[in-house]
Amino acid sequence: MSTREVYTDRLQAGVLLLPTMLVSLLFLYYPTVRAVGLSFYRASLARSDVFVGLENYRRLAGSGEYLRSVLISVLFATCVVVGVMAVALCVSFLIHEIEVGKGLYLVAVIWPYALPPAVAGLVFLFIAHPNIGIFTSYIEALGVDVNWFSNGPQAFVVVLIAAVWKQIGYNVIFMTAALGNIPDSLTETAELDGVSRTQRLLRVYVPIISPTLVFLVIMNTIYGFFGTFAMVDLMTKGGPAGATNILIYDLYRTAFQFYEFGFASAKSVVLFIAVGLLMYGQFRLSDRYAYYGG
Amino acid sequence: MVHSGGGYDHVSRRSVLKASGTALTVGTVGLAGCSSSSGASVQPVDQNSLTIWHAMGGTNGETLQGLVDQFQSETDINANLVFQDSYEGVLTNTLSALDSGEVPDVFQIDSLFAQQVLDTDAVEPVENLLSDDYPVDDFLPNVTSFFTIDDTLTSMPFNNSNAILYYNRSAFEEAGLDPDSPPTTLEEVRSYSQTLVDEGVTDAGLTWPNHVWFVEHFYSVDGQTLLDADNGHAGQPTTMRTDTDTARSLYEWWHEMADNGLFSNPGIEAWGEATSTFLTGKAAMLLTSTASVTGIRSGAEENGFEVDNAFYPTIDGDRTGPVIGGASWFVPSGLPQERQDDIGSFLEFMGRPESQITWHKGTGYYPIRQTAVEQLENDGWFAENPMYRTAFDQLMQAENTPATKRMLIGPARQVQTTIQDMSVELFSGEVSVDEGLSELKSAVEEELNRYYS
Repeated sequence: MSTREVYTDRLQAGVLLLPTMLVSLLFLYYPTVRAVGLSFYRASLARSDVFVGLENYRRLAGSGEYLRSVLISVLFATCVVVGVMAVALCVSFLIHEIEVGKGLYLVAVIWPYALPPAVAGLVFLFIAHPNIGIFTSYIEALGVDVNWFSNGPQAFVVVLIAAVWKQIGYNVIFMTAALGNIPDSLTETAELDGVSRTQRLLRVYVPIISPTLVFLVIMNTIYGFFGTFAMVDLMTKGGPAGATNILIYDLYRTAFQFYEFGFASAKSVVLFIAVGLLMYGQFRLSDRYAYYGG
Repeated sequence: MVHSGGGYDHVSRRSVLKASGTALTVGTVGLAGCSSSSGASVQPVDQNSLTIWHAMGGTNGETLQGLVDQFQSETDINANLVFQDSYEGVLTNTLSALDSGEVPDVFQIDSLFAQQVLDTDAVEPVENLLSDDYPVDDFLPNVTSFFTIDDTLTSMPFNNSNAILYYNRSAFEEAGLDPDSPPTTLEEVRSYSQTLVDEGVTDAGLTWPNHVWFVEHFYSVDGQTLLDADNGHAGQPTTMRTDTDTARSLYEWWHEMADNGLFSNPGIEAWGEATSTFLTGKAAMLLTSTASVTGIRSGAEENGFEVDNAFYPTIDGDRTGPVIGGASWFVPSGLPQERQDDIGSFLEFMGRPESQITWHKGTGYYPIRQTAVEQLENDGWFAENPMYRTAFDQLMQAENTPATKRMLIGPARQVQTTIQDMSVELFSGEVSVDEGLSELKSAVEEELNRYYS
């Protein structure tokens, strides 16, 4: 939040900003404005568009299927954020504490993050495939009937595990960095005071790295809503029976499989507003709870 | 269609934006599209060569390339095959292309999406491109009937197939079932599956990819149309026929099969997974395309079992016939005459008996010319390949009725998805059969109504 003026020359600042501005305008703001406009049309490919006013929004409001998709997305994103951060925090703490082989562990944990989402989705599909999955028979030996192509809740859990697994690495990078910045004196003081390990993590470390955690909550929320598209597409196609039909997948299907661009635009506008509000709420909360020093 | 002034550059940029679609960034999803479907004057993607968009991957693609190479050397017409990854890929790109006016000369459209392409009013019936003496009568009527609309051949059938039952002879023997009398009805499929599972021979009895094509087959084999208005061949359909014995028997059986672990669900549109489930011996029976004969035969050999095929199971013994699947060649309208002549030559080449024989042998899709079939017969091909014999008999013995013409509707993808998604709820027992079928009916009605209104 520095107010220091680096560039006194407005022209130079403008030139340096220009590429970013251009790219944002062309690929972000312009399409956004068009999407809003298009949401008032019945628009398809190679058929003439018809202005329908608020019809698309009315259809959304009255759609039980869409409401279900909203609930599933919120539940999914919440589980992703909580799951990823809980696991990543534990893993980061362990890596922070360990003396030997730190780098090796770090690489092992970050590895899944280096995979493209599509590859991660495919890997998980063939690990947990109900019929031909590599681990399926072992899981079934434990008494679980692996049946997530037909069983909605199971499918939700499988995609969730894949999504969490993929994102842990990203969180660990930031968390270990934040933990590394904690002064040793603080750790020593805590140890001298006889604070247990868990207490040290939860009461001492977590408050100190809270700015990083807030940042991660936001990034993970975005990931939960948008970044998990490829996994849903490859593993469940939103099914079975809509159990993993998160908003971003639903939107994609409406636009690029059904070619209902107007309706899809209305969905994207609603999704944009919803996630925007959520972000705003998270920033407000973080201002209150995160510790930024001073 | 109104041709507004917009120059080609302008329109093309718009449609590129439209197709490039979704920008996933911080909460922003931008769908850029055009707000009017204006067409610039139509011109080919490549002036110096015919451009053919297709969806044939792997060895099928190689066989197709071989045919195109032969066409080029025989005619001196350049032709460039462009693989578009999937039928959906060809469809999306074709619709954008028709929007922009810069078009491929020939595109391969899945029969499921035929109406959607016809609805653009931007395609030329292929019959107009074929020379007057081209023997259209020599096409197999059971294949061409689907592609003939208002007595005009709208697109050129090319890679066509039906669905058929494959079964594992070795597993049948092991379970004490007679491999020479495969099941013919749903009830028999169920009892065979039960025996196979009870005897511990396979995990499940039957598997097939959850694709609307199979539901269409169950209906057509039973002589029923899936939709009203003759599946869309006699006007715009308004509803799905779910309050029939066919529908109820099918879904009650499907649910029972799933409930008792006799049906192995490979997932929605999971063609590859279904075949692997069968080839790895997890299920002893498989419903899939007749075009898979070669692949399944070699797969079975690798996995050390004997495979055979039989007619698609009937609901209760009555058999009308299967529906056609696969794709055909469409041509855009408005191209210059010389160009159309070249395209005509290409279509004629692809449809001639020699090419059809090469195509059939290389891929397993039906040869669509009677002369080609006779030729194969005389060469002893069917005697050597009894599984193709069965596949072909199933096609040839089919009655040509409205039921055996698959659905021809604009919102095909929506209706397809609705049926597939709802099938999962039905067979997994999340809803009762009555409730599920009536939900399915109203969901399909809604999609049809929205598209045609």
